[in-house]
Amino acid sequence: MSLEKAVCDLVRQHWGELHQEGQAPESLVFLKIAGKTSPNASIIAMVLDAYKHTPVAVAKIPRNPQSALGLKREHEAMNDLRTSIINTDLLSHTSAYGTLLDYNGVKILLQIAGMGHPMVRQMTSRKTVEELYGKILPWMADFHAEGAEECILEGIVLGDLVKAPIDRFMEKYVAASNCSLSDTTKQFFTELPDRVEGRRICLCRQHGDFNAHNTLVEYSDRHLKNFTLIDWEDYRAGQLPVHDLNHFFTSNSNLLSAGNPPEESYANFVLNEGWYRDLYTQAIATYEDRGLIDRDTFMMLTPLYLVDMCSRIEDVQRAQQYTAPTWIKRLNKYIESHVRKVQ
Amino acid sequence: MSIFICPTCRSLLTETDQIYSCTGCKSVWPIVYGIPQFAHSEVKWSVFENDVADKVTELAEKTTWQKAVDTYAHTLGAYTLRYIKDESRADWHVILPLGPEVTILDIGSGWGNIATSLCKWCRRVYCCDVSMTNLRLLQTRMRDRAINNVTTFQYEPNDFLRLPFPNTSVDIVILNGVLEWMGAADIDATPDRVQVEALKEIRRVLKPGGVLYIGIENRYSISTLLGQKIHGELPFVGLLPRRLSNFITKRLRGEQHRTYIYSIRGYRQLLKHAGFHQNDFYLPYPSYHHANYLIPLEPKWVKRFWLDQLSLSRSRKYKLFQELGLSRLPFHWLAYSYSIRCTK
Repeated sequence: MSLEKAVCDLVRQHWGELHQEGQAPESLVFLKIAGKTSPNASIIAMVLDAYKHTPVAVAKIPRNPQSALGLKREHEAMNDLRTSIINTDLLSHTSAYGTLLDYNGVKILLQIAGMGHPMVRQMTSRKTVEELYGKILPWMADFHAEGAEECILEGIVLGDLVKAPIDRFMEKYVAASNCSLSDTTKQFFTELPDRVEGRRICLCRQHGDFNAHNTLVEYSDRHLKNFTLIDWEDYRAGQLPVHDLNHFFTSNSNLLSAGNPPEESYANFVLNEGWYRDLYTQAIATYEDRGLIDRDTFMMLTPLYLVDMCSRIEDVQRAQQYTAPTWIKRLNKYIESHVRKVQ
Repeated sequence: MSIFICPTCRSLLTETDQIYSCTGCKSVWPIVYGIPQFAHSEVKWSVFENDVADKVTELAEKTTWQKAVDTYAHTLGAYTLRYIKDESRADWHVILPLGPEVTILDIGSGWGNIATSLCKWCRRVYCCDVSMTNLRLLQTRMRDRAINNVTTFQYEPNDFLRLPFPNTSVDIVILNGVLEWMGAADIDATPDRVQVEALKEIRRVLKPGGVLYIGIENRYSISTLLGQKIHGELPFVGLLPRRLSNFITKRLRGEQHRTYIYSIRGYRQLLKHAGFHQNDFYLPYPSYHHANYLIPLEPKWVKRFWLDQLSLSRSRKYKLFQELGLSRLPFHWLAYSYSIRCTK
């Protein structure tokens, strides 16, 4: 039997774990919709109700049947979200319902399908971006504030969340990449642990890849009706509250100036004055209002997000060749801009 | 006992020191570099220049596949380099009946991207190609990845396809970007006849319920209508009636137009002639080379759903296309390529 048929059967059999109500449709259609290129990534398919013409589930199938680490991580994230988030309204904007199944020794992750289409398609003008961000960013702040734990940056927390990522980054990614860190950046990282030690922040859950590709939006009469955050593979709890917000603005900035190198889009939209940066500043202010982090500490810790993105690809050689140079350029630009502002 | 039979007379083969001998017609098939050569000639095709292709293969045999490709990567464009390395190119396997007991025959296996991916989902993959250089390089890729369920052999490029397998012995056959090239065989027969005979031969070796997967371009795609060169042919020539396209190609190039591709209707007819009656068509997007989306053409509303709900296009042209309701038209007629699942 092909995976196409097997997945449709599994959706029927496990309907109750995906949907709280209703019965599985008799006829389902399998539609392969994505798949990143790395050998251990997942192949993603949508399962559609053949009568209503609507998506009812998403299936993730490992490209390598012997390695389903990403799917297991995402399943753990889904479980954690369901068990730790009390606010059901927050949970309703996530793809947290689903199950990890074993089909002839192959792990298949079934999830409830988010309605709508990727937000990418709507990011065509300042007006649409402002409307989208106006709805999504307050939710993001609430999501991060839910269950956040206040702490002081010192001891193990400082070591694990600040010193260790910097050391790993310097050791593995900077040394052999094509693009070197500026002296200002090196000095910044040397001083960073001391500068942030003793500051109060809240540790919170982070999606890990919160951007326009992983946000599905549903429109009604040309107005945003609903949105769903998908793809929880990189989810982590107990993190600094700087990753998702920075990633949302940085990653999406590429879409606003398509054709330009990513580091230029980043500088033009996130670092330079303008309407997009105003949205960014407002979002940080919301974090401050929620008591997650103060503005100065947020700006100080933002380079750790850039470091994290640089170190994300586990294949060090591939990261050095393809991703590290872009992130290092962004990092240099950010530090230069940040230092200039401080001065 | 080898699984292979004599491709000429279909008798059993006996294996002695680096040679397969036919017990029927007494043909002798050498085994070179561990690869059975069921061929008397070779077509050298590669994304590398010919002399570079040999050097890449020799370096890969001495060191590693990765090192050899990286060493000569500068001779390729970024797209081509990704094309030969990318193991996600066989993601369409989700529509095939794979399983731990399944045997697959990958005809025109090229760089081995497809075999590297499929071998994890089945018992054995047989990779065959018309180029020994490619097969040797493919072997080094499998060696480096410690893959031991891939077997290679060379087949004759300048004859009707003759597979060294008994009747009903293979579960799945892959023809990804290959059927069009089969017509280019240097024999006295029209390309469509060579293609039909090849499909019949594939049908012969398939088990009942076995599946042939075809990935191939559309003759009347937007790209060909806009003059894109497909398979090195002259622009627009493939759109013309075959006699006219042959005449023009002969006049301008001194050779026939032989890499036939078809419309969706043409493929249905071709497959029907070869005996395949249960054929499911899919729209691979952006192309069959890398099918990020694989959209079934039946039921019809699915492709409309895909265009309305899943397309990432942010262009004004696309918005206009959508607002005018043009997604309801059978736009798949103009698609770049098709994926076809043919069940025996």
